[in-house]
Amino acid sequence: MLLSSLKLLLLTPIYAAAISSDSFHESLTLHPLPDGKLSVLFEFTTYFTAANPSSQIPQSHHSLTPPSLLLPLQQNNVSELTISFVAGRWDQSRSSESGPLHHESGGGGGEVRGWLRDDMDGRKSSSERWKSVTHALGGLFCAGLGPNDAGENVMTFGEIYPSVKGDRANLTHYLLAHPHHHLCTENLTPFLSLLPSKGLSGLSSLLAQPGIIFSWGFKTEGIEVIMPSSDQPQGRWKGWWEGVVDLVPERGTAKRDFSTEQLFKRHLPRVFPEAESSVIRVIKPQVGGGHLRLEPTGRSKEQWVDGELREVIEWDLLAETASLSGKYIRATWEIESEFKYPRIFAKPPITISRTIINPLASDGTLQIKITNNGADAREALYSEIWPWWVKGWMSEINVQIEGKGDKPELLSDIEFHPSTPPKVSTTTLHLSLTLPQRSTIILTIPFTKLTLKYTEHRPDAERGVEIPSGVLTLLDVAVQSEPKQTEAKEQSRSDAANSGRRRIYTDRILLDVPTPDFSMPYNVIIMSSTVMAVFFGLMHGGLTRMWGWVEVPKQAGINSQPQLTESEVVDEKDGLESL
Amino acid sequence: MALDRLRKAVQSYPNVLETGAVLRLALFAVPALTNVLQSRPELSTPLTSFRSLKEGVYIYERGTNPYQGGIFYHSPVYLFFFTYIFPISSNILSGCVWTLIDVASAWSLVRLWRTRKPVAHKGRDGLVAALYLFNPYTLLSCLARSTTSLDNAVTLLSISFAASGQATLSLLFLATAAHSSLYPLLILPPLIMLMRKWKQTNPSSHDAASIFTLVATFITFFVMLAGLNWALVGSSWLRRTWGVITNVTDLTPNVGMWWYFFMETFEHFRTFFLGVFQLHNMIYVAPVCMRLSDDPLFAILVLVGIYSTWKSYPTLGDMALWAGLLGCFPEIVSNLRHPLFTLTVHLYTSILLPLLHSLWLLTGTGNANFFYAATMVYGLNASLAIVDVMGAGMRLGVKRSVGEWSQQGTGLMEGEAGAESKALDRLWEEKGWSVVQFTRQLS
Repeated sequence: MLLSSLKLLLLTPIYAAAISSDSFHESLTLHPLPDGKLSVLFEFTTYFTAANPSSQIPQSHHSLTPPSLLLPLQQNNVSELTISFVAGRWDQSRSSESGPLHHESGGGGGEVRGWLRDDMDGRKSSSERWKSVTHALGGLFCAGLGPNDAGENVMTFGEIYPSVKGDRANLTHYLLAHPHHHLCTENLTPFLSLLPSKGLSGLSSLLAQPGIIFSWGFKTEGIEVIMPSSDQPQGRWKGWWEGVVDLVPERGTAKRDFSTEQLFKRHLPRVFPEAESSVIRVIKPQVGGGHLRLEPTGRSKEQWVDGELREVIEWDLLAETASLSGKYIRATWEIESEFKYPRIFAKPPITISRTIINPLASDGTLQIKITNNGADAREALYSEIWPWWVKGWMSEINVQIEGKGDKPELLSDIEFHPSTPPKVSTTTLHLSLTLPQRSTIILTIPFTKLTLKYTEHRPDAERGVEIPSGVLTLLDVAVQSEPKQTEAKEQSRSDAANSGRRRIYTDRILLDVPTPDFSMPYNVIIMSSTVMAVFFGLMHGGLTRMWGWVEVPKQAGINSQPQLTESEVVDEKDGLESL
Repeated sequence: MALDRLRKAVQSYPNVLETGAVLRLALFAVPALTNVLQSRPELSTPLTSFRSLKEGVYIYERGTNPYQGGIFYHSPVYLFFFTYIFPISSNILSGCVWTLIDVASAWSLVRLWRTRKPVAHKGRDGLVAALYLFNPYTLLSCLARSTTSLDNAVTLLSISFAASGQATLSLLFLATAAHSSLYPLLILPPLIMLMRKWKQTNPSSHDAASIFTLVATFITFFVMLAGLNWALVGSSWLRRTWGVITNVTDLTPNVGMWWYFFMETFEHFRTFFLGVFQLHNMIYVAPVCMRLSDDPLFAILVLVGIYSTWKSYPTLGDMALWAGLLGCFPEIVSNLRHPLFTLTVHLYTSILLPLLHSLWLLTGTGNANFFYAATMVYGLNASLAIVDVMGAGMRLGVKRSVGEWSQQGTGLMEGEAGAESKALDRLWEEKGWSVVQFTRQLS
């Protein structure tokens, strides 16, 4: 008996390894941008299978997956979860791209969103489980990700972040935006520790250099977890890290050639032994991509990247370990002795910007400019999340085409979920828009900042409060990354709808809040009460005291006493009888 | 010459109403002016602002209940009125409606004045209307399309119908006013006294007027309106209209004494101070009604003044209602101690309020204390004015009692109102008499 159970114990991991399809894939994508910058994207994907609930050895499937990440998700019945941190500003006009390479990275600051399965036992409500899972992961990522109040949760964004599994039955969507959050080293270390390679080998060792990668401009980090379910035993979790490196110094002239060694101050590492694939890619730029020479030569293929058919060069580290490990990949621009900053940039299919016009301390108007540079009209949904004290005026929303005047027909629907002040809550707004081809639409939304109590202001009240990014969701995109072999040549090299980028984000925006004088509570209580007391006292006197009349003789001087006799005292009401 | 012509014009009140209406319509034709006025916190609070009303109607028309979220605090009565009866989206139509509302207020003031002085009314009709229609507070509230104007009109109609003995109409209007802004409930007792006084002087009337019937009628109207609201939007409006008035959950600055207090006060004292502030409005009802029982209309004047100043979301339009009523009491005005002071401080605050508001909330250079200081001056001045008016009423009462007693006043009482008080003043001047408030309590 004992022997057999020991045998089982010893053999189970072997069986598990044999039947499981756990696998780990990593990739590094380099994408030169037209303004002399380079977008660098690390992606680490792990596929894992469901734990067998009857298994005697718990979490045997965690050979490649981190229990600290998956346990809270499992316990709280989470179906899908995405955490995204964004620091810095993505420049849509100069990068010729609507957003970073990784499409799941969210708006400015921190953001956590996901789908929760309904609890069949009904022990805990979904909002309680959401609270506990966000707090657990917030602790994991050294970032306050949980809600301070249940009212901060946004539940109307299910359409915008649809479930990857496609089935929405028994699922509830939650989103929590933390626009004030900043991505920093503290969020990188836990990220690396979640990876099976722990930042020690494989491509992750290039990432595990906070001194280097945090000097880059725009940065985004995040994870996306899809938990296995009864009908879909395979789960996936994916981590990404993307940064934008400035290759050309601000002053003086230089070339924009780059190499992995120059970027990471390291040779290419040896492959992580558990990795099933380990790939480095360079996406050739649209403009002058033919002049980019790469050494050593890699495999070239054509791929759809964000609505454009692009040439991508790939190196498989697994297959070419001998030739690549300890070396580096170099990119040089032929016929370019020095980088000249372009005067005109190719335009991304859609650009969006959000600013505040007519800014007053208590009011303002959000102005959202959306440009469709494509040849086709697009259908889109524009969404906003506001804290409860931002009150938008729905009846005053205006849509116009730049230079052509009002076009209210472009706004086909408004879905408005108002907050419930003064409780902590959020307002969400979804506007269904048509973006006509080759034009800019200007959306204006007037708003008022409601007055906060002095205890409701954030500690640094004078600085203001960040408002989450606006999201433009394109409703007509379809992912089709591989070019159709048959008609690849005839097909146009650009098709805006053929893109994995469903969402384009605006910047977050800083709203200053009119503040009271925080030192005044006692003074206000005392002064207001004094005015009230003065009034009460005078009224009380007037109503309860006796009114009468006195005779002051005409010749009497100022100093002489008025002659007052008791008989002359009369009260208006009952004094007459006594006279 | 011009002054004479003006005096003549003022004497006929239809002329005054016409001029007031034309002036309003002309000013409504300047959208730049009305747009600026609509956003002034002195003229409209979130509970009375036209912008909120428009937003609420917009949301309601799209099939959503505006009371479920956001900030819509208007009474459902107004929501339905402006959704189904007068579509609010039309600027011309709403301009006409607000003009009409003010004309109706002035008309009811004239009616009130006539019932008050049945014999000698001719000379002052126009003046009473003009004092209301051309009061800048009234005019600006109207141009800002604040629903305060509407509340005022309904309240004035109620008072004037009560004074002429039309109890049912009066109570219906009072129920509407109370539904909208709650505080007019406070004038129900003096209003009933007014109706009963009318009954005593006109015993031939068939109108039932026992206190019980009157109160029951009022409750019936009030419950009917609530039922109507309930049928249309459920119970959601309760917390968003009366709930906000009583709990002061919206702290948007206004001219009152509440917003900064409840913005700054400590959370655990909030309920206590809410009680104190609300009770402060209510405690005056009984003593004022008892002491001024011989003139219920005067009691109404004092109570309207108190709640216009001390209600949770006051506007300058509320003060206009009080000032309009005061126009019906020329003998009180002539007995005021410091009318000039009151008037100049009103002028001073009308400069101070917008100035300090813009420093804090528009340019963002000042802080809340600036605007708070201005509202304190305004509140103190309004309070002192009420005390002054009440004192003037007391002094007048003493003078009249003495006049009756000394038999000198007989014959004068039948004369014109202005003449009566002038004669009385002359008599007191000759005798060297003056009214004083003693320190002795009433026994």
